[in-house]
Amino acid sequence: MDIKKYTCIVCPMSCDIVLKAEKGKIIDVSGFTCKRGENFARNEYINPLRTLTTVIKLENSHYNCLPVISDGSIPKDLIGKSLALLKKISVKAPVTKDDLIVEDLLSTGVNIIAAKSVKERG
Amino acid sequence: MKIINTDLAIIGGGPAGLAAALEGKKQGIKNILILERNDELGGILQQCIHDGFGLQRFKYQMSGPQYAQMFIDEIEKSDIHVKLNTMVLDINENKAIHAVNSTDGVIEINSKTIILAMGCRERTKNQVFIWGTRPSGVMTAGSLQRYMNIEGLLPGKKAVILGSGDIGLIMARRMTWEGIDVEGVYEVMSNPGGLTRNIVQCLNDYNIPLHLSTTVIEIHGNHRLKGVTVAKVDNKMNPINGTERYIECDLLALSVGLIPENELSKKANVKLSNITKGPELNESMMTSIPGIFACGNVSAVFDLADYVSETGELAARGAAKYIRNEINKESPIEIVPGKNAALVLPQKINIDNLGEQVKLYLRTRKIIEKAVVNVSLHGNLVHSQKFRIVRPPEMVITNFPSDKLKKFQNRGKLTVEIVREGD
Repeated sequence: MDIKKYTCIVCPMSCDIVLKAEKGKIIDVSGFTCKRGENFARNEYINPLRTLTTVIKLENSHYNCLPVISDGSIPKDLIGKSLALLKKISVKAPVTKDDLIVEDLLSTGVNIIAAKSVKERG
Repeated sequence: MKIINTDLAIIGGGPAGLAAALEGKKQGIKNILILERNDELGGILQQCIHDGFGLQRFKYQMSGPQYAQMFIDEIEKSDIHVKLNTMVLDINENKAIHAVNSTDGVIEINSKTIILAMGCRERTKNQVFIWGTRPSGVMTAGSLQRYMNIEGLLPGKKAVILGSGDIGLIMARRMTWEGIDVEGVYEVMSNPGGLTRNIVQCLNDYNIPLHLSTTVIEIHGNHRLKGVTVAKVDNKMNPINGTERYIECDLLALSVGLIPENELSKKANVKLSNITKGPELNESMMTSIPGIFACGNVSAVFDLADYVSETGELAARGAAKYIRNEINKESPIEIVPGKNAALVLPQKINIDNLGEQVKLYLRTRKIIEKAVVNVSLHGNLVHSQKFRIVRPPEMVITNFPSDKLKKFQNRGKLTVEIVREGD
């Protein structure tokens, strides 16, 4: 039997979750205090997911960077590749929060969106 | 000199000040002015590009700039006045504020009420205690965050982090993502300073080691940082001979705690608390000077921006009541941290001023599983609340109906303790 211990990162409660699996199949999850915690542990075993936040190059503004965020979670393994892709991207102000920056990032179905609104250089 | 008269002046446009302004408007305060030192609103949130904000308030997680934008959009739709690039120089006891910016020059703001929402600053005290030279490349985690997330600069190639506060942990991941080699995080205490979730997702995810009971004892390098010497410490926090280790690095980030920013509070002459290091506050977040309120990290360092905004709203409701002359300025009940409670906010209560609920923010001195928070007035237990676990980096919040206090006399000491269930 495979026993995994996870600390949940969904909220500041940081629940300690124990997951039991046999031959790659999850048979028991315990220690969570909400449904999101249970889902976190299940994902952590099958395919760990993380939210991606970084900054990209911003033009036509007196700021150099635009903070961006993934509008969902992406596989942890794809973080490096995603960051490399985002390093090559630049956008022009004005930008409005939630503007689409990258659609369907690396075929994950997750988009990269602007995290703030920035006016053009005045 | 330009003179402005207003009903509510808010100093600082971060998560506390923005929430205070919007709530003030909702409460019917007419003239509201936010004074912000930076060239944009949002405060420190603008450089906190990581996610984890807003879970309590908006029920989903977002990054710092997203959280700030929610408030900024509302402010822009309102008639709340904002002065950016404006530095407040002085506040006096008559609630006159002196500030300066490049368009107005020096201005005087006479306000019926003031809310102090300047936030906190990073502790650099320990930095001074480290032996060695003072080369470039030694900076607080917050400065590093600003360089990387606002300016778009990479301040080094190989980093050591001293202190395991949340910003340090977040920056360990951020640096890794941008190609800076993070050698490790060193914490002088035997417990981590930051939230467990941050240790998991910022250190463990990237195999960055956390060395507890270990500190930096010497800084090396003349113009640029060349390396640091770390050593294990004993239980009195003295370095242990023979455990020294030299680490080559060109960046040392300090994440050794936050302290409420109270230079202006001192100028206004409000009474400061030895426990929170912020102003002594009553249930309406009013300081010892009637009409001057404080909120957010000025009042005590919070772990979540959600709570910071919540105290901003509380202060704004207090200011609205003060303007309507509905607030009793006496605070006959003193709130005292009892067993295991490191601090409690607020510090004073007047039962007559209470709304429907009493909310107390506290911090525990140690990790307690199956904890119970007990609130007693003159030795009578008025409220008891269970917690699965309480930890020093996390604010513990307990609330109860005000009616539980109203049957008692409006005086004496309200003690708040944190004990293990059954003790």
